[in-house]
This record gives sequence, C-alpha cells and structure tokens, in this order.
Amino acid sequence: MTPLRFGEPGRQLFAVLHAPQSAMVRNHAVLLCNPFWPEAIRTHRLFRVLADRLARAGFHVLRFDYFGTGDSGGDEVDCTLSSWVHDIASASNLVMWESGLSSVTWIGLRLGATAAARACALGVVPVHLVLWDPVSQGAAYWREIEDAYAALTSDELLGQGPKKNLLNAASENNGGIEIFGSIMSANMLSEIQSISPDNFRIARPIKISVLSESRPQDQEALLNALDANGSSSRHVTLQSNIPWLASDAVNSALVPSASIDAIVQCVEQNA
Amino acid sequence: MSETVTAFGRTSQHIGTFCLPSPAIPRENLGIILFNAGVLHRIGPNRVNVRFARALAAVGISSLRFDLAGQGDSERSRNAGAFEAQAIADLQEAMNHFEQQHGLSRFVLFGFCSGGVHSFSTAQVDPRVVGLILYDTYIFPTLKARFRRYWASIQKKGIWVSGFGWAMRKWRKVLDVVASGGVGTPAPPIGNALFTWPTKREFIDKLNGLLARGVAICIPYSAGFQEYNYAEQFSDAFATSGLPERIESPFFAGADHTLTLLVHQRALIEYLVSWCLKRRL
Repeated sequence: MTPLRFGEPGRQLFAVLHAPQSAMVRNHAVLLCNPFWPEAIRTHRLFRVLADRLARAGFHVLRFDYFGTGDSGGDEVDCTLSSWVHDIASASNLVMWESGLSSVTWIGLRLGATAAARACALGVVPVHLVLWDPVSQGAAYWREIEDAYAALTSDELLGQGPKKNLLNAASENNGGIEIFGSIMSANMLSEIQSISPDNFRIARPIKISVLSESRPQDQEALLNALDANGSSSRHVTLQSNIPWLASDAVNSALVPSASIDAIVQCVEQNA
Repeated sequence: MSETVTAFGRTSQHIGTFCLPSPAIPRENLGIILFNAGVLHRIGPNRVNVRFARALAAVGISSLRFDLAGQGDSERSRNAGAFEAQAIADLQEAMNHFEQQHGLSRFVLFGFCSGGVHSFSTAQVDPRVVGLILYDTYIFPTLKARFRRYWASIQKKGIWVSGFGWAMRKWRKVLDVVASGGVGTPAPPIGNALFTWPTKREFIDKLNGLLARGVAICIPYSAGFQEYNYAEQFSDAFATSGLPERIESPFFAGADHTLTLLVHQRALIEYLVSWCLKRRL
C-alpha cells in the first residue's frame, strides 16, 4: 500500500495505491469512487477491505478522497458534483500512469457512482463501470439525506440547536447548508437535487454493472439510459440491504462481506 | 499551512498526514498527535481531526494524524502483542517519526473517545508527552449526575417506566455481585469492554503522577453520554483530590459525542487550540 498526494498545488488529493498482491498480476487497474461524505467515513473500512481483496486478486487499485473530503485538501464547501467528476478523471489517469496500464474499471458507490457515470463524458472512459447502489433520483436521495440528518440532530439527541440550524443554514453559510458536520455548497445541493437517469447516458459503449439489493422500478429508467448509446448494462443482485445513512450508525463502520465477494467476482469477470 | 502524506514504522506500516504551519508563522516546539476515534480512520468523526490540525497549523503548531496498526489505512502489526500494548508502541513510533522528520521533542496526545485510553497509557510511560487531551473517555458519575439522569428520564418517560428500568439495572448488579462470589466488578465508564478501565483511585493516582511530571491535562466532555451531564461534574467527582484545580475539564453542553454540528466542532477546536498555545515554552 502506497499513500500519495496528487493534483495541482493548492488542490491536492489524498490517495492510496494498492499494488497487486498475487503471483498472477492482471493487466487491469481498478479505481474506487467514494460516496457522499458521511457515507464515505462509514465505508472507509469497506473500501480498504475491497481494495485489499482486489489487490490479492492481482489488480492495481487506487482509492482516493475527493478535494474537500477525507484526508484531501480543502473543505466540504469546496465540493461540487462537477469537481468530483474531474477528480475521478484525474484519479483514473493517475492509476493508469502508476500501473502503466490503459485498461481500468471504475467502482462507484452511491453518489460516487453517479459522479463516475458523469465522468465517462470527459473522455477518460473505463472499460467497465460498476455502479453500486447508484443515486439516480436526486430529489429522493436528498429527502433521504434530510431525514437521516433530522433524526441525527433531533431535539432528543441534541437539544434545541439543530432545527434553528437547519432553518438558518442558508443565510449563515452563503447559500450553503450545514449537513452532517460540514457545509454543503449551494451548487452541490442543486446538482444533487437535479440528478436523474439522464445523467447516466454514457457517451460510448462500455460494460456496465449495476449492483443493488433489489431492482426497484426506478432503476428501470436508469438501466434504459445506460443502454441508450449501445452499452450493455446488467444488474447484479446483492444479498445485503445496507442502511448507508442510518442515523443510529453514522460514524460507525460497515463491511458487508457478501457484497464485497460479489463485487470482486463482478470485476474479475469483466476485466 | 501544508499537508504531506507520510508512511512510517519498521515496515512503513503506519500511514498518516503531517499538517505543518506555513513558513511565515513561527513554529512552536510542540507536536500534536491525532489518531483514530474508535474504529474510524484518522480524519476523525465528521473530519474533526482535519479541522483541528489546520486550526493548530494556523497558530504555528504542527500535527501528525495517523492510523494505529490495523486501522484506517495502516497495515496490521506483525507483532502478536495485546491491543493496548500495540497502541502504545504505535503512538511512540509516531513521536519518533515526528522527532526525526521535524525535530520536535515535546508532544500533546489527543485521545478522542476510546483513543483517550491509548493516550493516557502512553503518557504514563513516555516522558516526551507534555500534554494530554482525553475527550469523552473516562466518566465518573456523581450522585448529582445520577439524579439529573433519572430526572430527565422521568420527565421523558414518566415515573413508572423510568422506575422499572432503574429497578432492573439494580437487580442486574445484584446478580453480577452474586455471580462474582460477592466481589463485583466495576462497570466500564463508557460501557466499552475492550479496555482495562482504572478505578477512581487508580485514575487519581495516575493523573497525579502525570501532573507531578509536568504534564498538562485537559479532559473535555460533550453531552453525548447520559452519565456525564453537567458542567461541574469533574470538579464534583474529584472534589477532595486536588485535581480540579490543576486539570481543565470543559463541558460542551448540547454537543453530541461525535460533534455533528459545526458550532460544537468550532467550540471544542477553539478551546483546545487555546489550551495548546498555553502549553508552549
């Protein structure tokens, strides 16, 4: 495991490169794309275990933090979904440069999956795109975030402050909103709320895997959009239904082993 | 302010980030060590370690935030030592690395929640530790704290439900004492069975030992645990020990344990930065 920072001065991103830990080294790299920040804290361990597993299967793997999140430079208020998209493209270039490979799989979790799908329009296109519980309906996702945050900051848990905080957040934070321990910019909020299956139209045909616990109705629109330009997407059913934003489990760790097994298998089959 | 990634330890097994003041700011001979809070990696809950490190750098204090062996981005240790002994070794390696890389020889250990157990243990054995912050780690309830807790419970649930809960807890304690042959075991202050918790007497003796060595100690509390629920609780719990006059113990009313709201993050960080500045020589 090699930690590093990359990107322009003043806009440095933290990353960890996992070299293949197997006699059988594959000519294929994997990039892991984090979800929204409270979920990213919970899933840090999950991504570490997933990266270790993929490295043991012979892949070069890169994990990284978007600018303004995790151990990267900047603050959360500096984030937009568009900046995440550019960070993914930069990280993809980095893992290809470091490994000397041109063949890469991107694995995006939740909002990271949405950003990864959008990044496919930037020209650095992966051979295989894995969308794990992708956010394809922004308005519904934002309601989920608000509900989880409201439960976390209820009067019972925190006294009288939070509701005032939510109500006054926009004026106190230059249009941004305080959510899960940091400020989300107005731009990011707007970008999240406007996510729709149309964001998943991939410019040129690639292999796409959508992994989720069930295949609800709203995923049909997503799969149709993914296939619109000739890509061949397939749905993989995961056995675990993970409450990514559950208020009683924020700042805890998640490592769903059955899902990790399924993802490693999915990447191996498509590399 | 600059942040640089670093790997250290015998096999470069520890991964961390130095956060250093800009060259224009006079640099203090004091390094702050930040590490995991429970199972979370080195950035801390709600990224509070990152914000704390940057606030420290702004006033000239360098810090290293890193992952203990087997946690976050760090590799597991190849030693088969006990968890607590390994954590002490990890913290000492972090200080060695800080010393080698940046020439600092005086350190403050920030222990967040159970991280405070490791900071407390390391301070006992390493003279380079000149300051200790134990956030929400050791909680000793007083009679007043118990009363306030039950009063809050009665207000919320009513006297009958609260009374039944109280009776069940007492009955469980009686069963524990019977099962242990009449001796009983002290309950961990924050309900964590992973660690060896000191008795109140041991805690006082160890704190006095550190104070005698010149170690500055700050023991902040959030309102995240029902067992600690008013500003003067530390002073009341240790009233006759002489500790309250020598140890700062701020209470952040309204703050949850993981500091979800920015107002609480900022309050704790401002307090601790100011406290650290008082430790400089």
